[in-house]
Amino acid sequence: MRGINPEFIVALIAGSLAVATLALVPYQVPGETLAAIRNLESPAFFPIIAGGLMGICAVLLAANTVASERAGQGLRLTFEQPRTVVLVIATYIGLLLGAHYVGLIASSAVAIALMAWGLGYRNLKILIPVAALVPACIYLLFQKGLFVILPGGVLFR
Amino acid sequence: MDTKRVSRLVATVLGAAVAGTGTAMAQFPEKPLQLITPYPPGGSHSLHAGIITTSAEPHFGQPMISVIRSGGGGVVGANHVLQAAADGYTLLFGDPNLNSLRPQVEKLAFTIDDFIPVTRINYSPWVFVAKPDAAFKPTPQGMAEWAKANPDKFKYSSDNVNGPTHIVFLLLGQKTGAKMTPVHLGGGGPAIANLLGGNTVAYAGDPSVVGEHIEAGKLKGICVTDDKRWESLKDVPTCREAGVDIVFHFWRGVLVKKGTPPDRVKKLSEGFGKLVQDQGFLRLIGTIKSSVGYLDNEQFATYLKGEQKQLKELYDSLK
Amino acid sequence: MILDFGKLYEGFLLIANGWTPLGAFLGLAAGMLVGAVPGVTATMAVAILSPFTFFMNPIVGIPFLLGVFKGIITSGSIPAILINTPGNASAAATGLDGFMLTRKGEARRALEMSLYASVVADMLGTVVLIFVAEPLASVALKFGPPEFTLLFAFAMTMVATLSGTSIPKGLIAAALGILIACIGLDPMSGYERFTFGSIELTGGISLVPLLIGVFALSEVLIQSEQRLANYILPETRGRRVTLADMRRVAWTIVRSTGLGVWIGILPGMGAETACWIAYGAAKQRSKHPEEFGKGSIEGLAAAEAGNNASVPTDLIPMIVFGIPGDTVTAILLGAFMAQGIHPGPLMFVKHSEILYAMFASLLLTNVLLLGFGYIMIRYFVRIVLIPRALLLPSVMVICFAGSFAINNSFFDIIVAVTGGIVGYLMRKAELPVPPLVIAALLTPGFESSLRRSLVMSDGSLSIFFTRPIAAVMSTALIAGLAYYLWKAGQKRFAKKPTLVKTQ
Repeated sequence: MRGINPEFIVALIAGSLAVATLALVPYQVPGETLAAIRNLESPAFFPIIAGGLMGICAVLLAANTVASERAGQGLRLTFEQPRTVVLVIATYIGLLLGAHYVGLIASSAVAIALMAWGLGYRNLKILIPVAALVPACIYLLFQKGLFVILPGGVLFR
Repeated sequence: MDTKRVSRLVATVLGAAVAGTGTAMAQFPEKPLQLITPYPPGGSHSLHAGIITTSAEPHFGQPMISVIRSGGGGVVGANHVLQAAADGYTLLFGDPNLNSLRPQVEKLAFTIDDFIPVTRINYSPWVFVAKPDAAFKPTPQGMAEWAKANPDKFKYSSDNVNGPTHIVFLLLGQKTGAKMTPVHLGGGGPAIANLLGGNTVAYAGDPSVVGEHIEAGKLKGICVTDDKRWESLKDVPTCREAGVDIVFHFWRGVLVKKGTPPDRVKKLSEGFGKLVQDQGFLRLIGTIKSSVGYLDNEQFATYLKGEQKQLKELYDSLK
Repeated sequence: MILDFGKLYEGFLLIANGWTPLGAFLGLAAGMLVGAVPGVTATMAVAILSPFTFFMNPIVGIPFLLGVFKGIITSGSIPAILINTPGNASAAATGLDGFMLTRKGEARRALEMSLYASVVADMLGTVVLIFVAEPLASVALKFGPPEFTLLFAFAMTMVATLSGTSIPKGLIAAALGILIACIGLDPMSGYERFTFGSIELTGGISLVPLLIGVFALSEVLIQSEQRLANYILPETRGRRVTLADMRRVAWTIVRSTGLGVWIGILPGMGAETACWIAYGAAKQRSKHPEEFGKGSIEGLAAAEAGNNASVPTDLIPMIVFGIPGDTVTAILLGAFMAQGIHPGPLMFVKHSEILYAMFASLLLTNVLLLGFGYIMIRYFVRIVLIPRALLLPSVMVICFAGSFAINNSFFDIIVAVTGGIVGYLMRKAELPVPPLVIAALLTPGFESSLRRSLVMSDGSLSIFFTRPIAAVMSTALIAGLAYYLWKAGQKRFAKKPTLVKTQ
């Protein structure tokens, strides 16, 4: 079968994460080392267990995946519209940055407009009012109704 | 667009800008104030913050909004205040644990000097309590004797590690030489629940939290860590009266970021001074069985300096 | 105290004054409308609204807040069902099957079942509250750290139940959840763990923003790359909840209610834990466990019954002992105190009229919930008709605002976005998400309880066997694990013949 089996990737990432966790324990948990596995009361106990569990399961998963590949039943990673996925992720990050520098409400309006357009919506007569209305409602609900002061943008401080 | 309209527009904008800055200097505050509570909602801190903010507007000319920013045992909220501008609009609703003790004994991202004291709103002492059928006599020495006679069996409820409910027991241990083991249960609710359930033998709690149980006879008040008896718990002796000299005040107060202009600090302090005399505020304080212990910014600053020194010495001697 | 019917009657009379039903209804309505917005949690709403009740008559203010609480827990499931975006943590399990039903064109049926299960569970829970609050609370008090540890351990086993076909994958997700939960301040020693010097991380990774990210933002990504016609079928007209449906889920609702009621009573556990335990237990006992996660009406009913049943009983520790069981009840406690009413041992003596008025208003809001919910469903169902290209960006933006609002933290938005991307990748790789969520939810409590138990026992594990309740629970847990391993072993051996055949 052509293509990548995502389970290999998962096993790889999980394995690396497990190793990283176990390696970082002495640095990130003050005063503890890996020997802390013996002490249930140690702050390092649960992180070590989690790291160990992840490592063991990564190995098991890899083994299972090899077996299912041999049987011709492996999973395949498919991206139907990779461009759209990239667009959405870019919008997430853009909105994060926008919210930080310019303010959440203003950036939201822009984000809605751009993303809707990117997803194929072309009816501007509806798109523009929606892009303006949704952030306005958010403002009313959160800032006026719940007294949450939404991010206002560092550029405007 | 013709030039006349443009110039009128420019004039208006410029005029507004000038007027704006002028107003900013003459009339602080001119936008809402934010009181940051660094602990999760539901505790006595956020309750007091709610009472303060509901009564605040007439005394400051602007609404005061209660903002909850919890995490890291208060550190995240304190840091939030330090990341805002030092313009007097972002206030920290602090306490001795966050502002006096921990910055000196733990490696936090801020020091005690990063904040300017504005006001002390009130303080509470702590009340040592145990069940009426406890195995020891309801006095501080009674607890100490039993702890010494039964090593490792005296397990008491504590809210959080290095928190005030923990510190007062450390003080008791230090003054009596008894070894007692804290079980950190995360908050007053679980602390009392475990005491009532028999999993721990004692606790030192806030009067508003333990008061009802004492009144109902479910818990016995052993002593209170104040220099005089507590209003609503007249029958509970002070720890001094009971034989062990422990006085520990847990204050609730307002601080701002270092660098805030002194005139704004003064204005805030005066505003709070008026707030603590507000009828509505006093009524609510009474119903939650709390009290008022106002100190203005200068008195509070002196008090803080003294307390910070005292706590540091205490903590060093406890190690 | 066993119910005094006379007092309850007086309670009803007391609230029949017109303002209370209005207050209760407004609270319920406000809660239901606001709870449908992802990121608006019961804690947040009750925290904001409680100062307003300081100056109200307690007969109006308290039912109002209780209505808000109930409304939010109920309506959090609406976005979970319609757009796979839980409105709050207690609706996370609902979305697993609820959204699949929407995809099959049965959104209305899902919403109705969610409502009916919630209402029934709420009614039964309220009955428990009114009739047996005090004796139950005394039993709950016997639950100390060792019992809690075992309860959390049992809840953790849900991870295995919800791992789908591949246990290693489920455990990887769970291990990731545990790691996420370990970031921040260690609850017992105060040390920082895995904070990498960042102050924001000292506060840990908040659960609700993580949920919003991992469910909602990942869903936006998934939907944006699907050809919509195949992904969500149009709503089948007339497909509603039938009597047969109700008969099928009857026992599930009863069982989930029982579990939810008990979890609600325990201080420290609430609706967000109850929904998973009820769901997991339902899957284990179901005749059709393979349907769970693919649109099982049983799973939906279980999750909703579980979380709603815990709401009335959440009040029990507060009422009987003055001990708040979680943040919402802690805020309610404050609201009571500001009215001069101190819940606790003296409440039955000093303020029993308020108490019974509260019971009466809880029963009233239960009925209002059914009516109001039924009407709302008609309008909410229309959400599936909104063009995806408009709906998805709007959901995204609401999620950003909601994640921020939980704790006024910009970092939480970053958590949500990261959760969204990670969640999307996990779903692409068919790594199950519920184990991650359950582990992240339960680990803090599990770890704290375990370590407190060991402090109490001076480091010895025997405490789990010497205390009566703990001993029973330990045995049950070990027996359950043994049984599970035995069954898993059986399956393994049953597989061998098939493998040989294909070779």
